[in-house]
Amino acid sequence: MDPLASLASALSADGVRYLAIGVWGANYYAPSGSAMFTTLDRDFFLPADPGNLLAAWRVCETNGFGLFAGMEPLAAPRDAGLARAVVERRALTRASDGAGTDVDLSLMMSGFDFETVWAAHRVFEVEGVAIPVARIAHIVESKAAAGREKDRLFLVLAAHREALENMLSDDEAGG
Amino acid sequence: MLGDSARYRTSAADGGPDPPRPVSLAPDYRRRIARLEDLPANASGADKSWVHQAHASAVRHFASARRR
Repeated sequence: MDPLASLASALSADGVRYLAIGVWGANYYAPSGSAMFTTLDRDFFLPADPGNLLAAWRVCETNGFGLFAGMEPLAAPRDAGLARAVVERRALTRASDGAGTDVDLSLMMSGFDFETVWAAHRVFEVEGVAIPVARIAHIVESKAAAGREKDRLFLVLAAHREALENMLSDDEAGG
Repeated sequence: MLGDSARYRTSAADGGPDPPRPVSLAPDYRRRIARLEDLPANASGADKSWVHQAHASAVRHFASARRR
């Protein structure tokens, strides 16, 4: 099974709340492979809930993912106290299987709180696994609110890809 | 994915390095997002296995690239 789908299945089985967001989340809405963005970042948005974060860490470790804070392994013990500290700082932790599947466990999504995004999320299936994904409208609005260079680039590229697809469609329609 | 008229405005002039600059999305951009979201293929429950397969294929492709 796809490693991300496998992780998603395990997270759901343990009741961990999360949403796919960011460029990776946006890719689920792409009408075709040509409209996807190649990214190695997978962003999961988690509520600011230490218990949920701790459960996510445990699922990740159980499924062969190492945990990192920045470039360093996440401190030990990975317990409720550490989870509370991470939540207080809204710090990002990363889960990596060491084979190319990296997942950022983010506690922030610019412009949004978790419950707002959760209330409107969609569920897509990958290899029979349900993956909760934020609305594309929320993902785009968040990127606009964050306004970092990479966010602005995403917004521009998304627009240009659609422009190219429209041009190609027009050409095909016109013979 | 969002439209040829998906123009956007930055809150500050372009150029220069890069403090975060929130972006104001044009109404047409938002409409195109809504249309994309409303596609039948993007309804809850849709099978998106192909997204993971396409991504894996792209990663394999770039990983196998060699400089000549």
